[in-house]
Amino acid sequence: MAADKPQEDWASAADSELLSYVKRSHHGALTEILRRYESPLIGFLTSQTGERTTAEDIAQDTFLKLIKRPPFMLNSGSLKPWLFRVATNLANDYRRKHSRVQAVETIPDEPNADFQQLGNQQDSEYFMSQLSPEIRIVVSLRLYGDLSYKEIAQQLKIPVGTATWRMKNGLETLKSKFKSAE
Amino acid sequence: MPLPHENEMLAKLRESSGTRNAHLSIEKRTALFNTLDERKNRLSGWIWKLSGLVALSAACWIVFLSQPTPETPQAKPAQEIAQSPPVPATQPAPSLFSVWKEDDPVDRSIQNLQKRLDNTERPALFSRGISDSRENDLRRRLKRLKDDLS
Repeated sequence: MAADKPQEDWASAADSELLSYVKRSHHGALTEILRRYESPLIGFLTSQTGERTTAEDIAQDTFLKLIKRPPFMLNSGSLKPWLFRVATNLANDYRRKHSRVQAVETIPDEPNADFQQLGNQQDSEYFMSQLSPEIRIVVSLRLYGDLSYKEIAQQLKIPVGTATWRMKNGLETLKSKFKSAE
Repeated sequence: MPLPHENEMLAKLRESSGTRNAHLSIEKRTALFNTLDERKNRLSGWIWKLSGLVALSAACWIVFLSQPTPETPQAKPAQEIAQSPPVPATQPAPSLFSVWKEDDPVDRSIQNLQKRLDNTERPALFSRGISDSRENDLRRRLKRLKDDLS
């Protein structure tokens, strides 16, 4: 096993280096990855699922996947696209299962009813919930993941132009929502 | 390249986000670190098993290679052959027929059968109810077999 790194060195380490230490089961490397990505991932997943607790569960599953089946190598040298791709897939799985359960139980009167529990009408999550799912995921990946349009397009398997158009559309909608709330 | 007003809008969204400083709960973090430790233990277990296998196979190879191998006959140089004393003439090898005669299983079985037939105490073969005619038949066949072989 490799020698332990001093705590201050983890902050300056590249994602690929952190990943190699996580593969060798170093707590420090995992702590640093959590410090970098847990908030953005939870934010992104909250915007996708509408529930904070579910978002935390899926974020935990994403990190578990990182520990159990880490990527062999990072394309762009950053762990972010991989984490957000896994999180997106897990969120889609959750939504599929959840919609099946909802269909069996009751059908809500209002779309995106889950988002109402976010409470604060000023929250960006609430405004985001007003967007259509296709536009919301593009804005969320840009907002929380800070992914480039190319990375978003690759992740969602759509052309870059479509991703840009959806982002523009989402921003305009959000702008009007903010204006009306003021 | 960011869209017009994109950075400004994103900053506003980040500022008003309720999940700006969201963290996993202590239980969830503990579960993650426990999984990391489990993986470490499993990996070290595999490494031990693998190194054990390697050591075992290395030991097998050492034992196998340390076994004495039969020396292969080296071809003598022509000069050495020329200088070496002539090989004394040996007795001719026994003919194939004589070898066959000595170790012939048919011959041996004829002899055994003859012994049994000559036995005054009636061998087990006849005590199992072989009739006299069958015995005579066997004797005839034995005689014919002997005549054919001689």
